[in-house]
Amino acid sequence: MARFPQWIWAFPILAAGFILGVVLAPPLRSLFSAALDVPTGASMIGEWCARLEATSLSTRIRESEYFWWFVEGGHLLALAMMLGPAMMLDLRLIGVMWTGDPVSKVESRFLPVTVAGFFIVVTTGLLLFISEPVNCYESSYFRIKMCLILLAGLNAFVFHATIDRRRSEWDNVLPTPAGARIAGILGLLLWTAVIFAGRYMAYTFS
Amino acid sequence: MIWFSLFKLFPGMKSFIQWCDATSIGTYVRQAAWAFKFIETIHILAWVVLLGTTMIVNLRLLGILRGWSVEQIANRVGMFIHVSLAMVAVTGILMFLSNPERYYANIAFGPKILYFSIAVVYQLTLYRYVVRSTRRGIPAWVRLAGGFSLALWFVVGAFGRAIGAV
Repeated sequence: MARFPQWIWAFPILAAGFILGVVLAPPLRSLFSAALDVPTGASMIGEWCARLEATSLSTRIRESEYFWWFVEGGHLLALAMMLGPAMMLDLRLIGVMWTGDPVSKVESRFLPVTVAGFFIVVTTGLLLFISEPVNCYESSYFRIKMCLILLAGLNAFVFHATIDRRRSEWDNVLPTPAGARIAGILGLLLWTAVIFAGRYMAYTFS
Repeated sequence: MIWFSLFKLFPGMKSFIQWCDATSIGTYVRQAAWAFKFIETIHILAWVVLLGTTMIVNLRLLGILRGWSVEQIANRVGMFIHVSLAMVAVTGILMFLSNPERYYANIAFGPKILYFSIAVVYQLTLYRYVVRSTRRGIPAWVRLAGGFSLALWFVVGAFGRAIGAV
């Protein structure tokens, strides 16, 4: 089997996006029109969610016989695909596992899988949100979850923008720098919390 | 026969189910407001770790993840697979005890247990042989075995999710 370059992941993602775009093209237009109408109510986001829920795309997903379950199952599977390798990288940053290998190696092997999983999680998550935006908007767990995802993203961004830039200095050094350990621990904690918030959110729906 | 309930398959287990229903742990999980939600979330969390780590080994077998030998990856990740497997089993049993009659009759619970049993047996026996046979390159049948394991755990997860849907 030939050795693929790392950006090979872009192709299946683009293909999936294209197929999804073709399948959902007419309902997608109604999505845009919902976004462009100027809301007049007290809560702009709430109004917009209500309008989104009335679109044909939302109704189609919500009332579909299998599609919703398919998307939800994909959301969970992709979550595992994303967090399994991410956990390995976090543990290397803390200095618990894979300590025989340089951080750059662990990162270059596991991060592409995590990123591919992340794209699927976001796509399926968006579809799930579109299917019942009002329920999501009114759920406090959903708001907590979004904040936690933002924090996790911020954690990753700060790590890659600061400590990871100087990786060549500590690639093989043990113990790893405090910043890397903090980023690893925060990553593990935040994603665990995201899973908790996501599951508890679903309990409030039914 | 994709969907089947354990009730249809083993109708004689009725008394055992009633005994499960009467256990003090089951009663507690059923009645405490926090217990079931918390246990189910831990169940999902452990399952995510289980699938994520088995996926790492399988992606290595399929040739997508590179850099280490299959045995190295399997040895390092093995601890996670076994611990999360134990956690999934314990939380799963607790959830079962909370409402055994429901799961006994559920048509997604039957196939889930069937495929879970196959997956566990496969993971603990044949899979080790597969991993060991990769010392001199990865033959095609080993890739197939990796894909089979991946598909098996996917199916277990899908049926598990379906328990709440049917």
